Amino acid sequence: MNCREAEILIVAGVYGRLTPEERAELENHSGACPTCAGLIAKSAPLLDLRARAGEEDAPVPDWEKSWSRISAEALDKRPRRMGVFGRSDLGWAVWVRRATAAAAVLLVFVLGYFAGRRLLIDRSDEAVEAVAAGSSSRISPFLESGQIMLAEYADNLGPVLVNFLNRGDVRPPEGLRELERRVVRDMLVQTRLLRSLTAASGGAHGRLDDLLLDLEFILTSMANMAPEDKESADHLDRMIREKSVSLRLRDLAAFSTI
Amino acid sequence: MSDDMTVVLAREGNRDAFRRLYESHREQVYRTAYRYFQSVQDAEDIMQETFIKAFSRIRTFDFRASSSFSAWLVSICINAAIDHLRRRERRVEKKRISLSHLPQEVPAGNPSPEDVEVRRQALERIRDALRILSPRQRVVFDMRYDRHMDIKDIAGCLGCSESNVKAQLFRSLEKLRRTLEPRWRQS
Repeated sequence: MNCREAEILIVAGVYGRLTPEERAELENHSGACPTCAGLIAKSAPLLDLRARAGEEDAPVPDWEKSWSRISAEALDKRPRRMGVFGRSDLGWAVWVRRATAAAAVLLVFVLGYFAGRRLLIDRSDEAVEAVAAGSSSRISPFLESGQIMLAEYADNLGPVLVNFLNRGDVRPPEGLRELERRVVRDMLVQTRLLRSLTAASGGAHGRLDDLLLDLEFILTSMANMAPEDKESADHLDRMIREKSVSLRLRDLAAFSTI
Repeated sequence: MSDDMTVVLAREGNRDAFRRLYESHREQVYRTAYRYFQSVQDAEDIMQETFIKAFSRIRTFDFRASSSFSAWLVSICINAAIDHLRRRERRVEKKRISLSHLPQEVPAGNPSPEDVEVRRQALERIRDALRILSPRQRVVFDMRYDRHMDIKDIAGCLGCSESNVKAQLFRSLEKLRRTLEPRWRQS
């Protein structure tokens, strides 16, 4: 230990407390350094005074009174049910920001969806009629080639489901709602078309059939649901979550083709 | 039941778990707060504020990032104490403090009433002198030289870098040393 370190320990000993090791080090140093020994002697009455005064013996407070305030402020005000985003105590500004972000995502999806649809499945209504009529000759080239990748279907449908599950209390503008309805109706047409195709292949796609049946029900409900019908929306929400529809859709899309 | 398990239950909204956490840690939090204020009222306020904050944010407690629930609570308590000290410091005028006039012999063990008074005054001067430090410096100094915490632990507790802690300590020691210098200069 040098004199600088000894000085630090003396200051620490006056204003804080020394460990037994620190005290021993200080005593060792003072034995060899008369200057520091002088400083220690002048500070000695104050060294460890705080520790000796037993500052740890704090008076006992009223624990129960404190608990009453803590439980009233921290527990009784806790939200009973968590919202869709895990917290229900968010301010309106946060909800508006999230609704705007969701609307922006949906808009990008909708624009992409219609642009892609024009390029790929421009004649889907005709295709449906063709399938319904049992004729494959009028099915669009996209369907005829037999390369309907479920991944594309899932890519289109996934955001529709996510958007529904994350719906907030803030209603999007009417124009956007109309676009949503159109997307849902289109997805319903595609789902029915896929069901027809899997049925035509002789029921070899058991899990896919089940999923498509669920999706047809979900999309039909969404297409016919009134905007203010919160109860039906909650019921459908539970069904989508309980049946793990999004997960099944992703898995099947990743591993299946028709 | 371990603290971790109790925290998990509390996160689920179990009221008994909150109560258990309060009973296990209230003394430590209260003593930590009392150390800085020497007042039951202030220490109680800080303790209550600490538990209210901790329980309201219990979902943000990260088992991997924090060494223990107890350490997390103490860090909330210390930060609440710093804020409280800052609010109070604004109202208190800082004095120039020197310990040169304190008696050369401060009695210890079985003291008479007069001795108790001498010791009380000496302690008061020491506590007053600590007020020359900023609230943050006071807490850092206390953690290092009273509770003997590592620099790394102090930095973790206060959410700052180790070099910041060292700088705060250096400045604190310099300021406190100046209060002792007149006493050291006395022949």
